[in-house]
Amino acid sequence: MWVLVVLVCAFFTTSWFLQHRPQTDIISLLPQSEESYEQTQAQKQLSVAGRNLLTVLVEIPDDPYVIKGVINDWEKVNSDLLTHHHIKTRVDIQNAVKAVALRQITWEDERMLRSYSKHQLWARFVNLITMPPTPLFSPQEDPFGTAADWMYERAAEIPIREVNGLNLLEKDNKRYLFSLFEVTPDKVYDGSGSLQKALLALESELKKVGSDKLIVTGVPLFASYSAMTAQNEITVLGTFSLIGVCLLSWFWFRRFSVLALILLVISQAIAVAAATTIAVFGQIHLITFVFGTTLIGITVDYSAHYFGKRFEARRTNSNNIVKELFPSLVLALISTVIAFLVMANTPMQGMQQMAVFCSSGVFSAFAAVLLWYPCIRFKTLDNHHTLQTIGSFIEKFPSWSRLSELSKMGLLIAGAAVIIIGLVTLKPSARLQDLNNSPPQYFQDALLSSELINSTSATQFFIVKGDNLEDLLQKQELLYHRLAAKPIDGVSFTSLADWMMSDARMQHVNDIKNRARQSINPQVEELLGSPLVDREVSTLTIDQRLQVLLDIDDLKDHLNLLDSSTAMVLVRGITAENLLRVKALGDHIDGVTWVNYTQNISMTLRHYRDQIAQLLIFSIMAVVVVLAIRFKRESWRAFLPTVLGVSLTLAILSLLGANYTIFTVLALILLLGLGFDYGIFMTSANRQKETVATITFAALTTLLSFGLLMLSNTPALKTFGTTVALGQCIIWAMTVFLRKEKNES
Amino acid sequence: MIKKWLTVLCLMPLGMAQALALNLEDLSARLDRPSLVAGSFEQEKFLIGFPKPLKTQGVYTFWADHGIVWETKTPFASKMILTPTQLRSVSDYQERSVSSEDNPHLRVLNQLLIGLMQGDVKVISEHFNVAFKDSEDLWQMLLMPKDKNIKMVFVKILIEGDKEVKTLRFYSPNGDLTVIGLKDQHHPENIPQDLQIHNKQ
Repeated sequence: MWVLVVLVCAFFTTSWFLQHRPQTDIISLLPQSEESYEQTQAQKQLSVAGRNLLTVLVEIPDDPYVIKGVINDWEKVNSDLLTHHHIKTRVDIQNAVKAVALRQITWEDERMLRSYSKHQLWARFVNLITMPPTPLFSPQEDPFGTAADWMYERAAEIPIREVNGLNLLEKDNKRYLFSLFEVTPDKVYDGSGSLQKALLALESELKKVGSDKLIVTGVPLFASYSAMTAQNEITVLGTFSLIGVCLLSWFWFRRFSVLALILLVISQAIAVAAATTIAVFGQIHLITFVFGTTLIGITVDYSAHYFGKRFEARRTNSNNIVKELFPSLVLALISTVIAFLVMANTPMQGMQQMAVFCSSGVFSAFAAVLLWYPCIRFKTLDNHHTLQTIGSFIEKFPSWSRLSELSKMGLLIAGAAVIIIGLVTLKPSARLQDLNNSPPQYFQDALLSSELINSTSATQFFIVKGDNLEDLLQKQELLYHRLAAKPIDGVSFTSLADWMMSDARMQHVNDIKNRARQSINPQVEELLGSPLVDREVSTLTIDQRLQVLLDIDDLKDHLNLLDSSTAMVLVRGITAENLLRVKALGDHIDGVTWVNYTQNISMTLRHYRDQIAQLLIFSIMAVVVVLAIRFKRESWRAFLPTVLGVSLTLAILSLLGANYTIFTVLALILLLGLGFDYGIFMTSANRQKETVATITFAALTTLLSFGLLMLSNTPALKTFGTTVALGQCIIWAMTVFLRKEKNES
Repeated sequence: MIKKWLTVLCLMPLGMAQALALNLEDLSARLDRPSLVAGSFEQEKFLIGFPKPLKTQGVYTFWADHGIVWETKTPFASKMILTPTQLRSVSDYQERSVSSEDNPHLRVLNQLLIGLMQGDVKVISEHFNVAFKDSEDLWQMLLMPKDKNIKMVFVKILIEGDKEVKTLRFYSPNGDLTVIGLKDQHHPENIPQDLQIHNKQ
């Protein structure tokens, strides 16, 4: 039956991989913070916008056409990876919005029209009509140039200028050629690093023509790097872990049949784990596979305990082994699975996937050992010398019962001191960067690109919710008023209010414009033969005016609408220094919410870290109670190694300067699940030598798997690996140290 | 030089003569290209929606590669200083400055006007398709913009001249027509202070 289950899982997994590819983007790993529907929608809109777009900026040393030639040739060579993507330049925006410009005005011009004297208005009109460069609109349409000013202001938000087919940027007396590409996801995210290789080639070609500044950014860059490193890590970690387990298995059991069975159990565990994860989530992330290499070390434990028992004495009846091992194996399985399921309680889909992957893999190993191994008829297995030798060697290690009272006191004081000082000096941390393994250069380029392109922040912005469109616009306009009243250097907004006015403001502005016209009309009539004609407010309803904007293709992305009465107000120029002042602009406006995505994620990580820490304490208490019931007076030997192991691991990491993050706590939960096994088996063992040897084997294989995780480029996985590896060592040492000696009653 | 070109024109059929008679390089060679020139202007603007054209008169100074000072004297005094990077307008009541870096069409326009005044072939051919008509003393050059920036401001530009640019007609998309006549061109001794200030900046 179990064979059938495994075959179905293997088939399902294989066919899924033939049609799909694992997730590679970091965004899917990010925690879903407890936020409103609007915030979720806003975040989705901002993150989806440029998902497959790659920005390339090249500093131009001399002739931009030479650089353009290099870029074009590079694009041709890499046409399977990326294609040129049209970008909106200033002229695109200006052309698109000319039709609506006459209904708009900048905040500055509105103040001007309100405050200028008749003479000043006349001077402005005269300047406009006498300049040889003809204005964009006729004097009847736009007598004071306010429509043109509004167009220029909108266009100025896009620093990219199209000049004779080149998209150029200038900043700090340097010129850059701007290009935007759309990547082919299947080619770029396959883990081969093809995008990174292509960019290296581009950099080399650009150096030949004298340009040594290439700035590349975009989600594809980060995601392809993540996929490439994950692929490498799976290969390296998986290979070394497997080789290590094979070598250890051979050394411990000295039989090819045992080694083959161990590998079979590992393989079927991975197949079942992958199939379960895909079935539950519909997807699987490459990071899950990286973490899943630890299954190699965990699943081997059940096989090790079985064969450890099998080698205790001459046996012909394998079923008795299962009967004897079953209670301990079940306890061990429950503690491990519970630990993984706690991971699933976090808001990070990546963690949830890892939890489901590992707990289903562990269960599968348990099932395979219990259901398959007894069916295999070994020839009689001799009393195994290697296990006995190793067991005898380890039994010579110091133990608690052999120590003098003074030594015991000293150890207790030293241990308590380490734990107390370590816990007191804990450095709590909750950073989004823990999930990211990208090179620092990528972040520097992203920041520089953002400054050059004058882009808005995708992580800090306002969400404005109104009762209707009019209310929404009025609230946005209030934000703008506040910024105009108390300007913050470098900060500007972009929102729907840039492109259309509320009915209230439109009426007000129209009145101001007509008053301004009337004030200079006597002079205009004398000069040009007829007066300026008053304009009526637009006859279109507010919804119709919005529809006009929505019908302009080049404009849709700039409106930042979430629904008919909710929209974002995006912010340019946010820095760490002005963040609070920007936030304060939205204070006490009903319906205006400040969103700080980075902070929200950190708060979520912190919240879950603390919650899981409480769960850790509760779990320890629950297991202690269960073990007390099972082992009674000897239960302390079962739970104390793990309790001490967890405490000392946390304390030592703290003393070494490591941060205390959600990943530290999750690793400690895992330690609980893995560590209690050793105490359980040790306490219930009849023949201690073989059991201690088996436990050592299990510890070494787990140490190997998680120890290799310390080599991961992802900080979260590195923390996991370090914590579990250190904890495993301490728990194993404590299990051996607190063992029951033969002379103890 | 002009007589040579006229001789060529007379000996050939008109169509071929037009095709071969004049191109930008020839025109550039024909034009006087002083580094500093001043003169007076008369400007007529025929504005849509107004029955009377706006007539202004004034003086200008052109300094090659640096800019133009355009000073209107009548019917009202105002001054415009146009440089490769800026357009500054000054009157009794206000001073306004617009950076051509922020306004693509303005940047190109500034380059064009300066380029026209100094017969810069590269600037003209870069942004316009050019058609010529050459008669005995006068030449006519019709510029049709290639650039999206310029198309927003001009439908076409018609320039007439002999050794110097005499008349410029700017046709706008909104239907306005600006006719600028240049005369009394001479070479001043001093560079205008307004352009000197900009140069120092």
